[in-house]
Amino acid sequence: MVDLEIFREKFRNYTELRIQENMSQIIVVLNGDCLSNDEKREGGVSARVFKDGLWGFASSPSKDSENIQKILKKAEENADFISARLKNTDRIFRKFEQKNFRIDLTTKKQKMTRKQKMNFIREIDSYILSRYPHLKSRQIVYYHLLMRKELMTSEGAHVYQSIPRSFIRVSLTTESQPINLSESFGGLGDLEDIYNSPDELFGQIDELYGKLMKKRDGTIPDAGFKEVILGADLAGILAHEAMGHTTEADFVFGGSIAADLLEKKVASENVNLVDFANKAFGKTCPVPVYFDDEGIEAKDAVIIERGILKSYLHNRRSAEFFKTDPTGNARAYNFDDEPLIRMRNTCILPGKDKLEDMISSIEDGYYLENPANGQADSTSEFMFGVTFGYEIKKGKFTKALKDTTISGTAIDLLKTVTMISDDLRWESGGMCGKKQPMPVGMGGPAIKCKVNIGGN
Amino acid sequence: MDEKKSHEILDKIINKGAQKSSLVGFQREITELNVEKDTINFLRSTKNNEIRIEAYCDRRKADLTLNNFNDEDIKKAAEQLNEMCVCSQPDDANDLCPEKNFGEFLGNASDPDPEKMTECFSEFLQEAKNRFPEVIFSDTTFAHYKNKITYANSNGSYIAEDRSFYNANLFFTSKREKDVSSFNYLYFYLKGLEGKIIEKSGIDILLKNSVEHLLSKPLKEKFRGDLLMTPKAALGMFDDFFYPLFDNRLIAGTSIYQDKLGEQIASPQLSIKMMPLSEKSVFKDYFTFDGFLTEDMDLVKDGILKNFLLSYYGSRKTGLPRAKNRSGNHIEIQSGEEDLESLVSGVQKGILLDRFSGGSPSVSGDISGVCKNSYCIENGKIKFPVKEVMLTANTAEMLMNISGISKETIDYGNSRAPYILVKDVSFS
Repeated sequence: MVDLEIFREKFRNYTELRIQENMSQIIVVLNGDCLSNDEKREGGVSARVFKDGLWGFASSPSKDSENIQKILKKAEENADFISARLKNTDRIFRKFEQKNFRIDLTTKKQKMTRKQKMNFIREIDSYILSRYPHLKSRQIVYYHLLMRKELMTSEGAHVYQSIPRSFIRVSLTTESQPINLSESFGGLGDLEDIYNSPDELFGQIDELYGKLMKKRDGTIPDAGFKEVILGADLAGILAHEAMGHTTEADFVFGGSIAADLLEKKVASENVNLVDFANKAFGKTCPVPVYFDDEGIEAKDAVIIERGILKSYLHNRRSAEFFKTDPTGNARAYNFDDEPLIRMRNTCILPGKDKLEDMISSIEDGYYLENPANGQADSTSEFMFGVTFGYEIKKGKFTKALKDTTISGTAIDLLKTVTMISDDLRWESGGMCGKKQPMPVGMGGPAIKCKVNIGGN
Repeated sequence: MDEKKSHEILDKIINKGAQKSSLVGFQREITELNVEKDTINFLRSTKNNEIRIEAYCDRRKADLTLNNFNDEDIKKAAEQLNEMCVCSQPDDANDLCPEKNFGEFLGNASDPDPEKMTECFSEFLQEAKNRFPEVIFSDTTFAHYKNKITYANSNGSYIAEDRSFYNANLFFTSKREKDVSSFNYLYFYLKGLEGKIIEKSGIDILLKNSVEHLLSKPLKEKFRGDLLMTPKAALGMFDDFFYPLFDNRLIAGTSIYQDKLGEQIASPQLSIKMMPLSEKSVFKDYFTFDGFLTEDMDLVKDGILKNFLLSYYGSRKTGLPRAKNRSGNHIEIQSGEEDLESLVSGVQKGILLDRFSGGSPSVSGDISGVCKNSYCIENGKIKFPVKEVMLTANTAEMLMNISGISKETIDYGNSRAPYILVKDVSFS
């Protein structure tokens, strides 16, 4: 491993030098057949240089000393090239306290071999087959991602972070009519640290199957503007997609509706929305970020406080523009990616209500539990798929729901929130797409609100 | 990666216990300008050199991808692949491409011209700002790619292709005082930097529409009516319509088209070709990553399903024919008889859709989502930009309900499509 400190004296302008390796493992078993047994290791070095308000960036897979010097030189040349031809008036670049920091969250236990992991997945598959033989298809996906980053900046930061994440996604499809339901289990850490054995998942798989059977016999919701409870996973995707993205400062520059809403009411008074850096309620978050890829110590960002939009998510440049402090949201996915403003662990804070009371308070509505994918807009309009839920009549669950969709405008929806449950659940395998993919944490309590629900 | 080096690596994999092996090499150089707040603020140059090795042993398969490797890394990779193979599961469908293919499709590489790139893209941003001052570009890139892709296997195959192209990935919204439009985006390829960027791939229409959407409004009522998809929307929904033709659903036996090869799955007006070797394209795809030389093919001809989109593995697993290509980069939806104006004039009530923001279709093809950057059509006229309109339909029914296809097409560099009219869709 090359000592990055030897390059510090080569820095002419503000510079970030980063060595990174991403290691991913994927195993896919479909109806007992192993469709994928893959591993990918991708790494390299990158440098980013700031000059006269503009950036130059260069990267290469080779991490030897000679190549690092070339990459630094190329990033300088790119900064020179662009600053010689283009103008940017935002030239000020504030200095921040920089620290040395090191964290490694990989397992300290004996590492599982590939064979043990494969057997782990096969045991889950065998369990499903033996217990539920009449399914049309069953698919189990194991996904592990380890991101190792070492970052040095010209201001003095030197940070090493090694963060693993593992999850198992189980997808079941019924035989007679093709109804499907999926769920992910796992989260932060290596598989060894999350589960001791596959049977720890069997209870959750039984629940998933039970929901699938209810869904098979389920109903299609009546389309329209309805009173609903969004379960924790849907509240999480709402927090991330519909509200979180609109408050990313680069989206604000791009015309997001949030640009005119700072210090204004965007939600009911009981709604608080936070993008947590690494710890929430005393526990480590699913995707902890201790320092971002600009060397800034990550802090929790309070987006909405008592219904008022309080702040955006920032990198150094946007914080400069808005005359505030950066929050440590500048994150790069791969060694050859530049840091972009990204969320970390975004959730609506739990309230004081009991979920049972929330359900019993609804005369005619829906409990929406499992999300599919979701998309949102610069206007905070959103659309999320819903793959499981229940009809609520007179305060009680009646029939389960088939696939449906909800849509609306987040800042309108959040103003209809009347109850928030007192629990919190993080989704296991959140990924966000915005030029680069990025692991993110999404979660929340259940919220009672009004939303447009698709029907038949 | 050259032929000699590729086969040296394959020999090492075989010597460690694999019976068969293949190697795909990707060399990529990107030169990219980035835009924030309508301003180019970032120049990025990246290089990568990646190999993906597949090893087969007793019908077991494993796959390892590396990007930074020396001889010692390859030795370790060979050992690791052997271990991965051993713990995998025998499957009679696992096999290497049985053909010995050779081809070098080189000579298409070119270096970027950062000076001219900056000039052309600055000019584009300025012209867009002059004509559409409310439009804001952000998270937008303009890039040059110089790629070399190779395939080799232990049967003696070696295929290499190089490709260089420019690519614009535009992301924009409009803002006037406190009004904000939905974002929209456009992704297209260019061979070179000739001509004005604003005149390519229908950009100016999208920018004009973006400004008009500052005044978008919701519909007051639910209705069943016609859906007119723009070429961009039609290509954007390709995967929604045709995901059931790929490996996963067909292997699982859950595809709605499982037994439909050779049968009518769409209106006779619809023909779709997948054309990786088209001379019209900015670059070609000469081979598949499972080692076959590509051929152009009909996917749907006169509404009849002519091919699935199965890999070699998927084909062996299902007993259904392998696709001659699976190049999602090169889709050509054939133009029709009517002009756009005539299609619009025949719509009593409907939506002109430019971007579908929706979930993936269910196994049975049911789909719902929001019509973005779209317009209301009434009595044969495009009336006003809409927002918060939800579309609910079934993809299989939509294909059968195509009632018109325009003469006009838009070219996105490798893919081309017309406007497509679908009748009897629910909007709410």
